[in-house]
Amino acid sequence: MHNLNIPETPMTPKIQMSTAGVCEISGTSRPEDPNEFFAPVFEWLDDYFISAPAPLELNVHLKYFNTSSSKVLLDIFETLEDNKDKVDVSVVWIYEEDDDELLDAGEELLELVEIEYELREI
Amino acid sequence: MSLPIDVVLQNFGIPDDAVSVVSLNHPFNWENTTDLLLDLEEKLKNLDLPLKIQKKLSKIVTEAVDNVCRHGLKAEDNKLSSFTCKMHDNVVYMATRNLVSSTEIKKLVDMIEEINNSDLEEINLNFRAQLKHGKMDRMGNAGLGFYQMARKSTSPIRYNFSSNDIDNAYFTYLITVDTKQ
Repeated sequence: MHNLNIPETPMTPKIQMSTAGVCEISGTSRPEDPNEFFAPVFEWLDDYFISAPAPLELNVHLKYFNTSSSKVLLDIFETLEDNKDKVDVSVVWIYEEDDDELLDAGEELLELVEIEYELREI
Repeated sequence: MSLPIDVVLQNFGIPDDAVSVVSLNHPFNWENTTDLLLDLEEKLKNLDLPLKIQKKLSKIVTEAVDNVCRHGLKAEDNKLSSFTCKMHDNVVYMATRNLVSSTEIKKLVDMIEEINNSDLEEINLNFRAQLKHGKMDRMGNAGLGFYQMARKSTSPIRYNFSSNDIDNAYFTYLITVDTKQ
């Protein structure tokens, strides 16, 4: 299995999914076709959870994201939730000081799933 | 025949001396709306608004321009599509105009009236229910945009429809944020 690396663009986030279990989604998320853009992430996660080599930590640090991206993020979190019996999974939701909007958005998403998470101010 | 956008905005009660922050007219695409959002980000920083308000406004504008990109009828027909963000005193006005099929009007009216007759808690509950249980369509629409805009705004959504021809109408709506609330 390989790592997944998608570089950031003005409209889409950087995505790094590592077989060592440390993953990142960061930047701005406003893809024209969110289903197409995030499809490799779901494919990678499906492969990862077959062997589940290491605990998976997903670090999310998004400056802006639209509601279609919210839906996909929730789908990603639900995929982690569905596989938490195979290996430890967790989400670190990163937000900047005074960015209450980003903090609230993260709390709202993470309260809809049952997985370990941390809200981390930087 | 559709009213000029300035007349529509006057009818919505936007003061004549409101200052333009950002605006965009037809055609809309993902690239030029990204440029608009980046421009907005800079303008909002220069207005010295609290970060929370800047983010709130950016969320609203993101959903508004996404709607035009996703839901506007064929770009070549949507010639009067527009987005404008203006500010007067401490109030920010965001108006979007987009060509829609006449068959969509009732659905849009029903949705906006339901939102306008809901309190913030109800809108948040509906947003979360749609987020959790709704499905994204093939166009990438998650059905959340108006709920998102409504829960970030400080006034009911104002809107109107202006017939373009027998099949289509221009749908204009206004989202308002009082930055002191």
